[in-house]
Amino acid sequence: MFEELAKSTSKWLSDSGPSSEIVISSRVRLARNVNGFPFPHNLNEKDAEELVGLVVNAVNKNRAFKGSKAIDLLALPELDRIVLLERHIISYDHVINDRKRAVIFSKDEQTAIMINEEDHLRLQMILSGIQLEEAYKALDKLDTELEKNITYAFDIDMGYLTACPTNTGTGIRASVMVHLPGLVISKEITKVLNNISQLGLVTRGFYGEGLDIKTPFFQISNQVSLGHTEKEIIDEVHKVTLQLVDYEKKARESLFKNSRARVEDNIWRSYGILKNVRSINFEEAVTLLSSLRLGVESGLIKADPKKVNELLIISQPGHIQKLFAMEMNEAERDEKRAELIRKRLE
Amino acid sequence: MTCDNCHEHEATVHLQQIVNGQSSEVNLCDKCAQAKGMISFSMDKPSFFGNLLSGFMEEAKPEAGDDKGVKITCECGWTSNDFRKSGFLGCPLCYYTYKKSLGPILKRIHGNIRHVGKVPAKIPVKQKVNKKVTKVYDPTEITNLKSKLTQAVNEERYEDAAKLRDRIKKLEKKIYKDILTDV
Ligand SMILES: [Zn+2]
Ligand SMILES: [Zn+2]
Repeated sequence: MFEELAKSTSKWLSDSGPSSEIVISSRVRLARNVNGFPFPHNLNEKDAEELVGLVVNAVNKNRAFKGSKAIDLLALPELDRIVLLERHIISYDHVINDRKRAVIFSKDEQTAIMINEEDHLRLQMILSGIQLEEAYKALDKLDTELEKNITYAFDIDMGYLTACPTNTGTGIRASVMVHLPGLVISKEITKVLNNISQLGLVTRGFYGEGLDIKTPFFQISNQVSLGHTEKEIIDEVHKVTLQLVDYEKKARESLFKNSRARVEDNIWRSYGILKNVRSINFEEAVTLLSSLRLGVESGLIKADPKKVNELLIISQPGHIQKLFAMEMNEAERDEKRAELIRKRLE
Repeated sequence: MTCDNCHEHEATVHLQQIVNGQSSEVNLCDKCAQAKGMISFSMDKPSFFGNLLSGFMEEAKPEAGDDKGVKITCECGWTSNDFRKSGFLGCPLCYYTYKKSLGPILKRIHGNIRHVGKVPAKIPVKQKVNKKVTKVYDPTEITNLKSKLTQAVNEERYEDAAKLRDRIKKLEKKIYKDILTDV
């Protein structure tokens, strides 16, 4: 399965939403549970079967998923599940769990529902650039539609009841994926991220050993889900993201002004390596692609930003194996990854 | 430093999370980081982060859910001990079974205990787990009264607030007694 999917580009990556040169994507998810059933981790096999059937039925009726079918993850090979993970359609938990569970996603991959993950339903919407409000609007509509066929576990005082009390209330998580090479290179990132966390938001990122953060991709999301309206929560993340975009723009400007030679050298070197590489692991690929992305977004290198975004996804181990239609060990993957990147950047 | 996931190889990739100014890290070897793909990219809450709640839960008394120190069990089979250890509830009904210990936990996580966001068109009445018939009610009236109550309190009209409170109580009693709809 998914040979075609792996070759295609998700709409949220190929679109160019507002500020997409810095904000890669906006994602909103809602956690919902069906009244009368224990939470997924506490369901017996028979009830899990019934719960998944019930939700799949309700979901299939929805127009958002026209032409899509719910996928039984128990029956889906691991590599296919990893491909879905790498495309941000399902979570890591949903890949490795061994209980009855499913996922359904729209053809453009922007809307998805995980069924029987940590909660009975996890509705999610991903859009390109900064579009949290738009994403929530669409999800809210989908949620209201589903509610006609499902009675959600809800309490008038506590809100939507979720398996983990960190999601109780609105059940909402609004997050953005940002690319902040300017702030990382200028070493302002730690200060900025700390400020954000003081505002009650959560930041996550990957970085390598040593002095600096190698892969400047970060996720910012809300921490609190109870006691504020969905709109307030979304507005807060939106506001902070706009501020981040502003900081990052200024950092990039001053870098190109004050350390032009150094920055340009780094970008061109990265591009050179990517175009000639013969074996490369995922982390190095992301690091270099990040640098290339900065070069493309600042107009230094003439290339399609979509292609760079896409490479970030298809350089992942699952996609490499899917695209070359074979299982590989690490060394083989590194070679095929290099081959793929070279071809795409020709 | 060894990998937090396999505890075998040297950790080379570090995943960092900052919450409320507190930073926590997960250290992974190349292999585990690769196997997990670009986890920070796609994750809502990476499972190997451990339970964010553990910090909150340590504060919950060992007799979570009960003030007399007796271990209690929800209809769904989830015990106060399970709740304390995992940080997870067993079913929606657990929210009522463990209401006493849950209040302070919600307050610590969210700084609030009262939901003010979206309200569905029908709300289930507390009921047994695994019951096929779902009893629900229309929340419109009670939601209206509650927002009036908040307004009255904000405007310091305490007499009105007391009256509204009484009406809400009565209505709630009525809802739990005779159910409006049967879906
Ligand atoms: Zn490891
Ligand atoms: Zn329970």
